[in-house]
Amino acid sequence: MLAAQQISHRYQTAQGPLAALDQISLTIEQGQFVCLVGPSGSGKSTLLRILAGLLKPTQGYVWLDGDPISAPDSRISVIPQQSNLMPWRTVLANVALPLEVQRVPGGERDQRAQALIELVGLAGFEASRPAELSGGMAQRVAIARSLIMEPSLLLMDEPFGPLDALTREQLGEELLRIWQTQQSAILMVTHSISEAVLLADRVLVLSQRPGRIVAQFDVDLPRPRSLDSAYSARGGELAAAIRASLQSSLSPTN
Amino acid sequence: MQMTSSERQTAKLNALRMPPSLWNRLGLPLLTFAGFLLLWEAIVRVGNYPAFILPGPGQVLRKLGLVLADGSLLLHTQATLLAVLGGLSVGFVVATALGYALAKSVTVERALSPYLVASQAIPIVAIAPLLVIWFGPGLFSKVLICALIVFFPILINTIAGLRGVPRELHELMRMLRASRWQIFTKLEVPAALPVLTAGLKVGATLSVIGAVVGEFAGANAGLGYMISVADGQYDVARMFVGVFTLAALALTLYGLVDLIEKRLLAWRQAGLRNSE
Ligand SMILES: Nc1ncnc2c1ncn2[C@@H]1O[C@H](COP(=O)(O)OP(=O)(O)OP(=O)(O)O)[C@@H](O)[C@H]1O
Ligand SMILES: [Mg+2]
Repeated sequence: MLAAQQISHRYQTAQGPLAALDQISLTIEQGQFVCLVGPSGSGKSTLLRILAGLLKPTQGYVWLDGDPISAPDSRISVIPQQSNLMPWRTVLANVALPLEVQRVPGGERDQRAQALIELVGLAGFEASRPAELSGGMAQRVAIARSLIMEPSLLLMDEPFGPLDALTREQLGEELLRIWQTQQSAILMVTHSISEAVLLADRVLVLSQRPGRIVAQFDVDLPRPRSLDSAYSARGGELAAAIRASLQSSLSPTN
Repeated sequence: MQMTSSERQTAKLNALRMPPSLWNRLGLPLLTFAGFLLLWEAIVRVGNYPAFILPGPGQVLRKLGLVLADGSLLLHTQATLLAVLGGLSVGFVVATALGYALAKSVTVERALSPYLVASQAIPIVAIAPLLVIWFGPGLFSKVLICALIVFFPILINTIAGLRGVPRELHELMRMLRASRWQIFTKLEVPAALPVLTAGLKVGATLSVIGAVVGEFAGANAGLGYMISVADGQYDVARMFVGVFTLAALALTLYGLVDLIEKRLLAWRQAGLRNSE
């Protein structure tokens, strides 16, 4: 479904060109859940922005269902690293924003937004403003909003980044449940290896800058999964292997 | 008795939840005003000043009754108010439109900003007589002066408001493939509104000053005109009435903008409460 071929990216900075990504190729199949892990500054956010059509790579191409992607596309939704809810809008109005931009009539808009708010477990908070929500609740709103366009691919950049470990695990489980009700494929950046093992069908490991894919792991844990699967023997094995490959990508001899 | 920190916390929350009582909002300022009047009267009595130097509150009040009865205060207040509101509206429209262009286009900014900054070095008092000569002593020159004086703060706040729109939100609108108009109405206007209304508040009070400056330079009506005529007649009580009316006018305008701001920005209350 999504295919990226030989993507390299160099930023032009005041100190000269800075190579952020080096020859990244990857594919994501329909409905697949892929996690991307890598050291800080390895170009994960850059890669997501390129796949979303927000940033033009210096080299390489991205295709979605055979169409080249060079600008934002309605089939791709992004949850960026920085929260981007509109503080003056209520939860309901934030979730409904994409439909509003598409000029979907009000009644249908609110109905669909309401259904998604219920799906992410925020029923009763429709009229709240983002400032009244906890970090985890705000991320649920962002997830609901990105699902409302029924995207075939959802790109998430450390969606649970600033949250504590317990909330992350709980949201992770919930994300699994939500994903199973949707048709979307997900590519999620995370720095939590156990989270990657819990969620993903496949885990990609990026090297230090400039980011290259140094390893891929198929997570063959049976679904539906729960936290127990991530903490199972096989889950532990996978986590250890991913950690080892991350560490070797960090070592100076690499 | 000592309060534990959690008790203090709840007390603070309760204080926040309770609307400030009528006494706090109105009683207190009225009390200070009464004190001010007493002090004023005392100074007049002790110094034994004649009315053409410093009239007492009673004399000013009598004068107020007089100018209210003969309708002259209403007439002059109307003239000033018209200039203030007209100037504020014209200045607001031009400043926000130009501010938008300046914030959006580097070319426009490079071309115009030196002149805009330089224009601020010219005191409005210096060009007000010129404008009166060119455009006559009527309403038009006053509106122009008010517009000029409110222009810059509103312009600066428009630019600051637009520049302050978070990059993530612009990117969000791009991802949703919003049109320019949708970006303007759904993102830029609401995001810049807090800074913009702050500029409007400053503008509202400045506009009152602009009207008086214009009326001093030459007019046939208005509170500034009334003050300068009374000045020529050593009618200091009438001057006081004019000054107090101007202050009341500025206060009312400010309060009005504040009210509009609270209405438009109700969403910020939630955030403010929580950050307390
Ligand atoms: N707009 C930009 N201009 C110049 N350099 C940039 C820009 N954005 C990112 N970079 C650089 O590119 C590299 C990769 O950045 P990126 O944000 O993609 O990393 P990341 O893997 O997402 O890191 P983190 O895990 O900390 O979020 C970094 O060295 C960063 O300094
Ligand atoms: Mg990042």
